[in-house]
Amino acid sequence: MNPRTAKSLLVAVIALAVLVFPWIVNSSYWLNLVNLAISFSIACLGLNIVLGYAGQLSLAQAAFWGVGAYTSALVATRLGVSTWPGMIAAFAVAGLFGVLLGIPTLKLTGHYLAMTTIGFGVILQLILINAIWLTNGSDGITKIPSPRIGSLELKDPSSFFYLAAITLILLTWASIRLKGSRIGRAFLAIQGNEMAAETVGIDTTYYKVVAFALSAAYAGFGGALFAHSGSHYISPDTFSFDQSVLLLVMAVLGGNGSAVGAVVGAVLLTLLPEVLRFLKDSYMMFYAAGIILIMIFMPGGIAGLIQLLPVSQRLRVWWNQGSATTQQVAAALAAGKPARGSLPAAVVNGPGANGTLLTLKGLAKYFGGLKAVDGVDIEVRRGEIQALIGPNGSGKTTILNMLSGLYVPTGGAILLEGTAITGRKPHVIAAHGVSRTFQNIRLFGELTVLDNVLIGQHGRSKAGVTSSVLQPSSQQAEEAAMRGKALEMLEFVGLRGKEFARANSLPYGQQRLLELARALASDPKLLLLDEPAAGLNAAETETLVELLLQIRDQGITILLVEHDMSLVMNVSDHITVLNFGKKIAEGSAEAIEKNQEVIDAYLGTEVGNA
Amino acid sequence: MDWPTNLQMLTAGLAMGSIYALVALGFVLIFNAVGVVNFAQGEFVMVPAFVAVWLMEILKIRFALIYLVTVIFMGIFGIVFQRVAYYPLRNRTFLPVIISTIGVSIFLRNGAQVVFGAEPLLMRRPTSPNVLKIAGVFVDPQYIVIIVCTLALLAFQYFFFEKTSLGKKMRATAQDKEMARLLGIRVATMIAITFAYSSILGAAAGILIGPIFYVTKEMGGLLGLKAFCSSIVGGFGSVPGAVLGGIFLGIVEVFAAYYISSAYRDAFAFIMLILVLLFRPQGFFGEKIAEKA
Amino acid sequence: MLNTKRILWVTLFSCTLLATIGGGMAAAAAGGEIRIGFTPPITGASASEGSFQIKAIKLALKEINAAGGVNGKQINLIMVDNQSSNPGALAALQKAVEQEKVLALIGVVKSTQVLAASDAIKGYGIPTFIGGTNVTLTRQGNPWLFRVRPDDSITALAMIKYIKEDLKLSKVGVLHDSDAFGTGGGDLVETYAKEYGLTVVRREKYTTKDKDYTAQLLSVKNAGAEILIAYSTNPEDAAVIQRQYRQLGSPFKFLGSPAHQHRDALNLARDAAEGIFAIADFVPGQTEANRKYAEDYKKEYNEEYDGLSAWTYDGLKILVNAIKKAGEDRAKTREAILATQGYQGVLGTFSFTPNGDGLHEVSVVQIEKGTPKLLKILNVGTK
Repeated sequence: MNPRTAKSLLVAVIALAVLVFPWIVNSSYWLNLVNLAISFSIACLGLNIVLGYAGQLSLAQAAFWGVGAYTSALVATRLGVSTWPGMIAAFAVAGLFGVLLGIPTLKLTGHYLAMTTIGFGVILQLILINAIWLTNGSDGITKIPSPRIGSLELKDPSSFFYLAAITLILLTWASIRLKGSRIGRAFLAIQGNEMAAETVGIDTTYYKVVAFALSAAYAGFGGALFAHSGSHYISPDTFSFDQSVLLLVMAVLGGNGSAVGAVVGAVLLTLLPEVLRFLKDSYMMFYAAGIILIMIFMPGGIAGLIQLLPVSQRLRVWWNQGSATTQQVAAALAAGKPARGSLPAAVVNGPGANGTLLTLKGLAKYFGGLKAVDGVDIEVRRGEIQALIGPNGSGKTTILNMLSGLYVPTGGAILLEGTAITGRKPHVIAAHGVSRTFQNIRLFGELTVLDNVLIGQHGRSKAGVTSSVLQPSSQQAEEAAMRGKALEMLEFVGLRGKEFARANSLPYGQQRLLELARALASDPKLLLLDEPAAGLNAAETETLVELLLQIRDQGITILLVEHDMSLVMNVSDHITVLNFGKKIAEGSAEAIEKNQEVIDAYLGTEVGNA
Repeated sequence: MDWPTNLQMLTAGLAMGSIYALVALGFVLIFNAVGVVNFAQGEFVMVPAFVAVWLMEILKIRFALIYLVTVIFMGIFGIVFQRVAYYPLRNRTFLPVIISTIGVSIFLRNGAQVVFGAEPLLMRRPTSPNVLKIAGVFVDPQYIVIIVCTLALLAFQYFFFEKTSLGKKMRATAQDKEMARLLGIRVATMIAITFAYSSILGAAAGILIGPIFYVTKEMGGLLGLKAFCSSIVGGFGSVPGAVLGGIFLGIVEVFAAYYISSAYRDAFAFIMLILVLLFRPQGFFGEKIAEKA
Repeated sequence: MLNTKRILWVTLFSCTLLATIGGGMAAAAAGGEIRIGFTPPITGASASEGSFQIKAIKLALKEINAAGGVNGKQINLIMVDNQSSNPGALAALQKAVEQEKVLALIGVVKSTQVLAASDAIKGYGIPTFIGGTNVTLTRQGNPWLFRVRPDDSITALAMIKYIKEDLKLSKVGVLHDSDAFGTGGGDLVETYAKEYGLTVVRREKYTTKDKDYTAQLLSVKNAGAEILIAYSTNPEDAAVIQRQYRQLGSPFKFLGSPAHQHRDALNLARDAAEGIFAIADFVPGQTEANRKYAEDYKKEYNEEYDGLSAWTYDGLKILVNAIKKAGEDRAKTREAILATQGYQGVLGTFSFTPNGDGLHEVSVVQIEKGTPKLLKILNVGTK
């Protein structure tokens, strides 16, 4: 059986299962619980997006669930319209609240973010209780109508189940689609290495807000389902911090980063307490103990556990046989190209094909009383390789960080092709055509080699959330083009055949090459390299030299910081020497070698002649 | 200016703030040592409160002995907690650890119910219930005890961490585990001691507030969250910050409840948290830390 | 490592499997018994109230079955935990009816949980006794709910009447819990105060389980209140309020909701409660029925009765009496319950009105030496 038929069969089986489920489970009690579980699952799918994909810990998911429930209930009861506008409004209003939460918290990470989201949830619940004019306060909202399709009212749990199940399946499918797309990769990049993501052209602020908004919208819709089913009644006490904690546990139990895992986790933890009733008042203790054990022994949750089984690996390979990615990679491999190819000509030549590309004027960076960079003037000519050398602490990396936008200069200006980019954000600078690598390698370690290079092209692609989910032919064409480019880059640096390996499984030297490929993938005008030879042996360094020369020959300008003097002397067209934050010399390799001040400060003399 | 009213509220705020300060201190110590936010910190207050009550009812021995036993119990509790909830996860990211501590919190809350029953309990007070009147302000003697004990603990802590060798080793471990290990400091032991000490602070808080607020399984919940807010407001990672943050929060809460809205009292802790995080993220006393590129 | 994981996984799976089978087997109904459901909060935030409710109802069960049950059949009381939550209350109801196949139900106390289960109760057509006091519960058009506690309008009206006619005060402050119970009570108190010409000088609220009430008490004092009506839900909150009130020098008189004279509140507040007025559902010794209840409870559990849970005792007894008359038929049982008039229960005299309310009187008490002393019984009629 090939994957295509298997996929159709799967769809058919799922459809059939959904259809007959209420017949088999002929009990309002269980169906009601299942509907509740579905409502939770959708909230968990949302949490999976913001936490599992983008790595931002939100403990306010129950609050968004509540916002959705209240919005939908109020629209239906106060405005007297059918339930559908309310449910759509729930999705939108909750999403809006997600934006409201996301914007102020974008600067925060980890625990700070978690605490802020808790605070948001507490405040929201207090509003639900006290804004009686709007929400009816603690008494809650009664007699929430059931959805109607024409004259059919989805009043009993079995008919509601169909609506719930269909929306659950659609939203799960959307989540899975999202993960494998440009947006999903951006989220994963933010989680993997936020700093690198910024320099690659991802506006991390924007995407974090998008992640929050999506997660809140999902939760809002789940809340709307909750309001229109079961008790047809909502009150503020349901939407508490404890409920947010429960949703988090469900998502993590199912497996952080797995959409199906989130659903499994939610269903399990909704139904399990029912099943454990025989334990009477101690069942919560068992369940809590279980959570701790799971964290210790099954950190990837249930999804992680299943993925570790050998049969899953084989299943995945078999399932992906027909995917566009697999086929494209296989085709490239089969074309029998040499182990290392050449770099296709990049479209980099802008106005004034010769002349100055980058100007640093009086650039300065002070950290309190420490003058890391103290008034430096540098000019980088288009198409040259310029090296920045000097002792440790002379300000080289600081300059690179200012150039890529990670630091805001204290003084001076940076001009790229005459345009000032001083103090702009990293992703904006990246959009101007600047790419970089890092002294301490910053790859997206958990992602594949191919994905890393695809993320490098983020700034040169444009699929948004909608196209990432629906995947029209324009999006698919864009993805194919990006893959093609990525494969060329990998071929260039010599990593062909390793496309599906996890980035941090590569040996050190190859990780450096991967970082270079990622930086090249966006067709940069200017490539900033921070100690690219650090940790490389002689053979690897030679390869690097060849690559750098080829890159320059294609018209890409390189500015590199390096300590390996033989590399510097071999490739540089121009060298600038720094000491204590100031430029002390510049010129060709020969000139610098003989410059007394440079020798005193940095190079030293050889004892005896070679 | 209605001085009697404001002074009265200031007293209440100081007392409540001291409790927040003690719990916040427990947070900060653990966070500094292992980089983990302990969601069960509130339960570190609840458990010793139950233990103390139980000892009072069952054994009917002197207060001092009860307190001593409770403190020792919590010291051991802290070490066990660390071994079960933190140690197996010490090399993972922060998320599994947070969830594990949440699991412990739920476990302890329900465990308390199973062991001690669901009803709230009264802890007998070591101080007289007769209220003192000082400068026109009614002061519950227990409040004075709380404030004095908190100050004493802080003095002890300052002395211990600044002047003793063990204290310095613990601080070194908190700042850089790898380096401490290289210097021959037994890191695992230091961490265990940190957890034990943090639990003992919880014991102090539980014993001090038990007589005023009664002992229930839910007493730790919101207390822990608010204490965490205080430590961030004061400056996360800063010990004096945690204390001052706690006291500041206690006072702000009561004044805001009077002048602004009593219904939204619980919100103020979080509103302050959000404001601080937006405009001065290092808190009042913390240090800015930049990530190395 | 994989080995440990496998073992854990298998264990988890088998436990779940066993539990499901176990749960299924328990549902097999036995003949020769009458099954009545009960959905208290066994776990969650209301677990402490739940434990009292269980004690009270078990006492009733014991007495009923010792006296022969119903026509020779023993009563089997099936307890299902409502997990102190709204979805939990609904799930507990559905499980009790569908899986445990109960004839009738002793339900829940928390008004929001009653509302959560209300539609389903109507759908099943199952007689359900509730302890929730929110006035609207029996006025939503659900003929299957029977309330065996005085609703909040009775409590609130009694408070206002007592203040006006007996204490002869006119400036009232109000402090209430912001939950449904407290807010409902606070609203009613304010409405009746206006009706009877009293001035509400200040109204403050607090969030459940709050720890410090200094701000609210001072605010009421500074507004010039002569008496404070405290509408609290939980005895432990009530105790803290009373203590802090006392510590501020008792700046006004104090009249509290039933939580304030609850055994737990009195145990916790001790001397601080002395002299406080409160509304009580009943005071033991008032009638033969509640004197006996306090005695039997003490004998059985070796502790003082709990006032807020006696409704389950009365509820079960009234229900069983109705079944005795009507047979094992839900509709007929319903009619028999409504026909119950003048029944002497622990909580007072039960006479059911057509909408399902059984009790129409409350007692005003004053705390003397740690126990509530009866001052007056106010029968403020049916509405």
